[in-house]
Amino acid sequence: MDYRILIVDDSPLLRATARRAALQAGASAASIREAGNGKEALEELRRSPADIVLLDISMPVMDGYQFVEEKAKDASLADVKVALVTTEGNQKRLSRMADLGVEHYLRKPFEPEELRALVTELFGEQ
Amino acid sequence: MTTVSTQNLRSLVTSALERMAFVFLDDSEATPGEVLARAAAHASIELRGESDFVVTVSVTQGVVCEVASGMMGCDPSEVDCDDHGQATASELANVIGGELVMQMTQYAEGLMIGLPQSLDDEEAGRLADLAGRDGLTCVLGNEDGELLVTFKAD
Repeated sequence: MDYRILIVDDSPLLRATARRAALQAGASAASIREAGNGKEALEELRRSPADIVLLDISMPVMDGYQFVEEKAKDASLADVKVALVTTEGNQKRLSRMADLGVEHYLRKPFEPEELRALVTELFGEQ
Repeated sequence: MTTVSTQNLRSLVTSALERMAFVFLDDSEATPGEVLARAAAHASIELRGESDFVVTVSVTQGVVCEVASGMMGCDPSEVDCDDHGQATASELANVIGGELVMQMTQYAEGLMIGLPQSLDDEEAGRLADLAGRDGLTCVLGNEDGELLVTFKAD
């Protein structure tokens, strides 16, 4: 199965890093899409679904917290898995994300291999 | 809130670079002014809370190439280093800012990290001067280039 993955980060370098990790984990280039903030990500998901979202928190326009809250209100996006890839380490704020269904979390700075392993794990859960 | 020393800052920066990009930097003999003059890009990030702080990063082309290629897990020859200068400086500011928040708050609330901002040469120089007088300055490098990080109360 070719998993559809949406990378949401305002950093083009992080998007390129995550794209490479997804390719190494077995995704096809055509199955990987990118968005620069939460608003763009919601628009992208409503236009065409994804199986997995790799989500930064600190972004302009709409941050990762707002994205997760908006996604939780939309039943059509219930099956989309979200993994946070972020500098955030505050336990209270991360718990709030977990309450909204975010089960995966990778804190920056991470080793490139850790991101590839996370994507591989997410593919295995689909 | 835990206080940060120059040694803390240096350790935090070198650990982050090793972890995220397998880039190894040591203390450099270059002055902040020399790094600023050679820098390919500068970025800052604000940490806001009961007290406010600003972190700046200035990075030369050689370190841009090393960090960008290390993060993507590819050879530096595969990376367009000209294109990645600002993104690399901004991501370094983001990661270093995040690490400082964690170190100062011990994973509790109290500080929120802002968004990375690009700086022009003049503003980077002004902030580096301020940090040199009343903050922390860390100059690191290797045979390929240098990195300047400053941290001060805003």
